[in-house]
Amino acid sequence: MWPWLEAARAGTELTLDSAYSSPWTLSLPRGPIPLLPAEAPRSLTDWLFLLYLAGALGLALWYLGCALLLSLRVSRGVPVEGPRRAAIDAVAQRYQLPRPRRVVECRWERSPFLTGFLAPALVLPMGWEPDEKVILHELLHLKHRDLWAGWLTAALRCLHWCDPLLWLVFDKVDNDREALCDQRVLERLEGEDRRDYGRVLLSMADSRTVRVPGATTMANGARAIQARIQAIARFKRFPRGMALVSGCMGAALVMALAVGGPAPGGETDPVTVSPQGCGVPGILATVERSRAATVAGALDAYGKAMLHHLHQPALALLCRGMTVPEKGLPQALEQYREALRLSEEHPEQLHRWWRSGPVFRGLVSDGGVGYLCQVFWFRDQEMQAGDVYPREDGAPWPVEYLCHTVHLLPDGPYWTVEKLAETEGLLENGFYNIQLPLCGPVTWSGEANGLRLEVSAAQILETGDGFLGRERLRTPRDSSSFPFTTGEAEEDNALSSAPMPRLPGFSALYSGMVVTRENTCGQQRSYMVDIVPYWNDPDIVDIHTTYDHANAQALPETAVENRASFHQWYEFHTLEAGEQITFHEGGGGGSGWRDCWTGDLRQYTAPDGFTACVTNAQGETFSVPLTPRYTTPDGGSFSLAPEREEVLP
Amino acid sequence: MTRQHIRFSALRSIFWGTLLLFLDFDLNFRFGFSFTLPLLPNCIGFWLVARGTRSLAANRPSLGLLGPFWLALGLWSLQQFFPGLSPHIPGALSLLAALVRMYADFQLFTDLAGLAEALLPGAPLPRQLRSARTAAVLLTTLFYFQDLLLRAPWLTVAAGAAGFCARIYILLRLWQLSRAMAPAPEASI
Repeated sequence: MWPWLEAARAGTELTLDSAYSSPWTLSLPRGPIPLLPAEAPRSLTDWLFLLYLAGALGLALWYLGCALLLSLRVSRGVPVEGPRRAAIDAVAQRYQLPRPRRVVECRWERSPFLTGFLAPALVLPMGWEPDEKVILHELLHLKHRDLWAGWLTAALRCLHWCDPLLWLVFDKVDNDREALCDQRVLERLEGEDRRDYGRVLLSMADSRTVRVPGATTMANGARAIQARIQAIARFKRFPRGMALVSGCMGAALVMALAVGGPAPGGETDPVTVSPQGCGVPGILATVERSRAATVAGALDAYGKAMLHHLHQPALALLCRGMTVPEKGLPQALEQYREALRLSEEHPEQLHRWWRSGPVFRGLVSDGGVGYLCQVFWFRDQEMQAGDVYPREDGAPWPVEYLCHTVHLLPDGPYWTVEKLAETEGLLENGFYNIQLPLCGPVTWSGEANGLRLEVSAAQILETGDGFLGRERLRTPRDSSSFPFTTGEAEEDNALSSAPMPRLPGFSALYSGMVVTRENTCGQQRSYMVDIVPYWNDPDIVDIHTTYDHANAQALPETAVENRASFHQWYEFHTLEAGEQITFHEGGGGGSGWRDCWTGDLRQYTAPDGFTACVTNAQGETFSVPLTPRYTTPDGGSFSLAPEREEVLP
Repeated sequence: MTRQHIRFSALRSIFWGTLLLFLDFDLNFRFGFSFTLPLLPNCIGFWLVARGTRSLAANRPSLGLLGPFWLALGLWSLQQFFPGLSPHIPGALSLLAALVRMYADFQLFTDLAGLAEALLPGAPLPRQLRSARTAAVLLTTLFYFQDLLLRAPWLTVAAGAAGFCARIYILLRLWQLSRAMAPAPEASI
């Protein structure tokens, strides 16, 4: 499809309230058979569409009417019998061609022609003596079903009645059909007969051209006949191999139409727009063609939408549009306009925007077809009067985080992202620090025998070039605090900050788990805790299990190693009465793995649950039943019903 | 100039044009925009082939019919100077150009084989030209299909190598044909 056409359509429909079109959808039909609209027209484009339908229908009725009238006239024709019929049958037999079922003669000044759909009849002028070459021409039309081709062309004329270029094309198609029939005739004639055929054509040069659907016409106009005579003069048989090259060209055309060319750009190619050269219609047209097709692509686009919200609203609109369902596009457009107004009226907000990130955390199945995930962005805590950087104690500069807990849901072949909760907080010691107590989207908790446990999967994922805008944070100079996927911090280029809606997988994965243990009984206790992740899919095994089983029986071929979580075992640890400790466990990880680019989400998703087995100092073993709840990073809760209000600064 | 001279000159022109179309040596420049200077531009190649087929049209009228195709292909090949244009060219146009090229090459070598058959009766050259022509068509189509459907790297390499060999074979046959048409040296007095 033509992007500029889609942009023009979107731009036009944005200003109209059409019943049959919208700026949010592609102009392609939704189903194999486009249905007529049921609503009344509301806009100019609606009326134009109805005008087109009326024209197509009107032309179809005209053609059918003409064919019907011709059929009535032919039915009143006089059947041709006797020697003339025998001569026609002799031509058919000599050249092994099908015989027409009916041969009639009518009173009109035209050359012989074939007409009819199911049982074509050969129509001769009244009293006309059969000319073998003319009969041969018509019988070849009959053999190669050129009448059906004529009806097909007529149907296409109806569909494209308003396109003069295509009318010219269809005229050429009809003329070429006659020229091809000439070729077939000449291949069956020899020597002087070919010249005679040319003379016959010449005699028809003054005949009127009548194009009636469902009827062949040997006389197709003086100019066409002139071209055909010239072709006769240079006639030679089709060269050997012509069928091969015709077949190859036809196959290439059919394949291109059926399969299409390779999609522009690969799975990891960013989608960009030029904000200056491409207005809202162009962005919407790009969105319609570039919706997020994978979970990683949807998260990538969603994360970058926030980054660009105030500084590049057009790019933010593109990113946001990729991750919302069609009905969410008007709201995305409203957010874009709001961002434009905000950046003009309150430019001081630009430097305080969330321009570092995104980082994804805790991707987990929602128990159905979707996923939950936390999306993080960061900014420096605002310096107050008297603040000095670097800090005198050498500690990293505090970083504020914004977290959206989102729900990813499939929408046909695409993925949409819906915000469920928004949380802000402060990171004193960086994102990777072991003291970080942030919960994942699902926290499993339970209590038994004086020990309360909370476990939350908190693996960290990145897409594309990873954490963007690190140079805007003072803290990343401390390499232990933030992800360091691309080594040295450098300015983001236009491509790394553009969305990649078709990403097959993630570019970095750091396994993680947040575990809280609390002694709820009134005295000091020692516990040994064994936390084991599990997935409902039996093929998924955590990577540490596979290491443990290195010498055990081989895993089945369908086994998928999950790198997001791990089996955590704690040695005896003494907790004072009421003491609570929280650890953010990191099992390791990295970036740039080739595996990371695969689309198998089972490698990245958090466990569907955990089992906890505890051994106390007395050697008694008991399990702690864990139940899940939805949590925000600060331990608050949310539900899967979406928030009703957008919260944007 | 005798007819023999004209045929010889035309066939040589077709040979050199075909060679230019098969080989690509480019110099790339950046002036703020990308510019490529092809040392063996395809447009010159198409012009040479067109010149040759026009001269041979007296012997084979159908060769003259290929003129518009060479003109269109020559204009199309001007994008060689601006590689940055390629991503913006609709795929349908590229497909059309590829099919026109496929047909024009097929018809050219078919007519040259026919010419050889008429002027060099009994020689194996016509059959060799037709075989090379058929191989080139099949390999081009295979390339296209593997890009759309198969995406098998080994197939790409194999088809590419076979296509390269077919082109070399065609060039050799064209040279042979032009040599066969070379006018006899004039006897010195």
